[in-house]
Amino acid sequence: MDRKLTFGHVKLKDANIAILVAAIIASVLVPFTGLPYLQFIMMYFFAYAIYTASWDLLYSYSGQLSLGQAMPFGLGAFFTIMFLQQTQLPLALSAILGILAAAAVGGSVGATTIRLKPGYQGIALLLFSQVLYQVTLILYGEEGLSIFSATPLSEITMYASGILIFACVMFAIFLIQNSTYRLKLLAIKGDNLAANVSGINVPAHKIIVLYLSSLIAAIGGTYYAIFTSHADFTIFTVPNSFLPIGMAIVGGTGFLGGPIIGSAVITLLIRILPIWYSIAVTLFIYGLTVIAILKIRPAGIVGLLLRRKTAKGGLKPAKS
Amino acid sequence: MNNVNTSHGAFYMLGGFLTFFAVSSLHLPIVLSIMFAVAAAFALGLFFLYVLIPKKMWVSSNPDAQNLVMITFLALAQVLQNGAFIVYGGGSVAVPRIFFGYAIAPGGVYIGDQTIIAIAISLLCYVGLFLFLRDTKIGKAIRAFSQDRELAEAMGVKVSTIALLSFGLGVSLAALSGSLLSSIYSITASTGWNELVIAFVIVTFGGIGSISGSFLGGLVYGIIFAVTQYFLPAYSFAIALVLIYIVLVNKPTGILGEIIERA
Repeated sequence: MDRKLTFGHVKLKDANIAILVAAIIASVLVPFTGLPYLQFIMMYFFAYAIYTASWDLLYSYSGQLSLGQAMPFGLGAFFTIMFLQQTQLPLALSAILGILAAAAVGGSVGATTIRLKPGYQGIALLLFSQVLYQVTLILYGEEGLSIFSATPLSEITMYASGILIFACVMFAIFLIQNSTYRLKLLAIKGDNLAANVSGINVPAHKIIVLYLSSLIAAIGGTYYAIFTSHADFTIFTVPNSFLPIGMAIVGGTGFLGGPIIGSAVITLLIRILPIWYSIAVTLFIYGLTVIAILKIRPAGIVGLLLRRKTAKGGLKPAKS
Repeated sequence: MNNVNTSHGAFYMLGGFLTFFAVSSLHLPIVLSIMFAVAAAFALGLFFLYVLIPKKMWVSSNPDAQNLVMITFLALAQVLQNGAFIVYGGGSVAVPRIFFGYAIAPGGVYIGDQTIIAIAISLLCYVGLFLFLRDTKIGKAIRAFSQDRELAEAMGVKVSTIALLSFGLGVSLAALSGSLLSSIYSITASTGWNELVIAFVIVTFGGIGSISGSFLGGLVYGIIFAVTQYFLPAYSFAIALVLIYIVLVNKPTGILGEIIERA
């Protein structure tokens, strides 16, 4: 069977790389606009796009649902600051150790849920996120942890690092998306039993994706903690776990371009609306947007350009 | 319905706020206010299910459809919680108690009258739900439907009626507990997420689809929570949940229920 996928008249593979390249070019151009607030928003975009891609990797590629993706994201943030404060290691090394530790914890916790149906798996992961919310509130109070450095990174270094991390992570996901490994994951998503009978080690691959997703979320969380210089218990809230879900839904799940476009739209929405309205109004509008997209166009913004109507239907093979 | 309602905790929160609204704005007596909150939650639940979820997804065994329903309800919970925040702000609200005073249990333990009322109403609801599902025609239809959808449909059970009724009953019971507990503990707009995971742990520990299992699960959670609260009060919530979760991982069917593992 021809497995080429179409995006309008363009192959999906090309469309995804085009969206990624466009996002990188736009990110490089932003500092030249003379709009410092937009540059600040873009740093949120880098963190959220990585965070959203981590959720989408789990959901769209292997059929596992996490309603507590804030767990690896928040752990990445907390562990990095803890390594930085406790060991006095350089920032980059602390960040790497923080990411690895968060991925290890997130993946290990996730591994206990792989036997559950997606709905129950989602709430089981939410449970751990809620537990971490309570524990970090008790341990670190409402003020949380902050990065105090004698030589803080300059804003442009932080921004350039963001572009580099964003580009590397997205390109890695692009490679997974276009590898034969994804076919195994799609088989698992489609039917666990059939995949198992076909010789695919279903639990092992599910665990691999959970670790991979936790690693990517932790990278996003670590970058978030570094550019905001802070992490507190609110990072584990349910609205924060809902953030990547809503962004992926708005952009379109199952394509690399979906999380990028969804994160860009929602980051602008939730960072610009509070200039005029309260956070509650912003999140209210955000929730309504997600509901509207789910109701009207479940395939998201990317789906608007695709020649199909729902997220459920398979992509049309190219005629060539 | 084969669906997990991720907005269940939001309906718990809504129960408290609807009771507060009935008491403070409509000036209804507290008992009538609780009844108002339950009825309003039932109506709102049906409205949201009808408007937000395509009818073919109300009851579906397709994992994609189930996931979309869960995500829609999660978004709904976000909307409801922020809606409550916009209307009532971030502060907590508390509704008047039905009775004031306390009773002294053996061992010198003080139990507030409101707590006794809440326990009594909970038991009444439990027995009522048990009898409803066991003895009434609709209850039998719901049970038949949950056991074998195709066969129940072939016997003339209407899918949409059962789905609407089950969902409405579920959210109105969540609202009732929020309504009763809002006079013991205060309620804020962000209340509900802990209650959702507690409900999940209790129901799965007891066994999905088993009313008796939920009762047992609730009892076990309550005892673990109370014991840990005595020794490690700050961590009681976390310890109780993680302990039960460890049991669940090793016995995913729960005590009395059906399997929640994938096929």
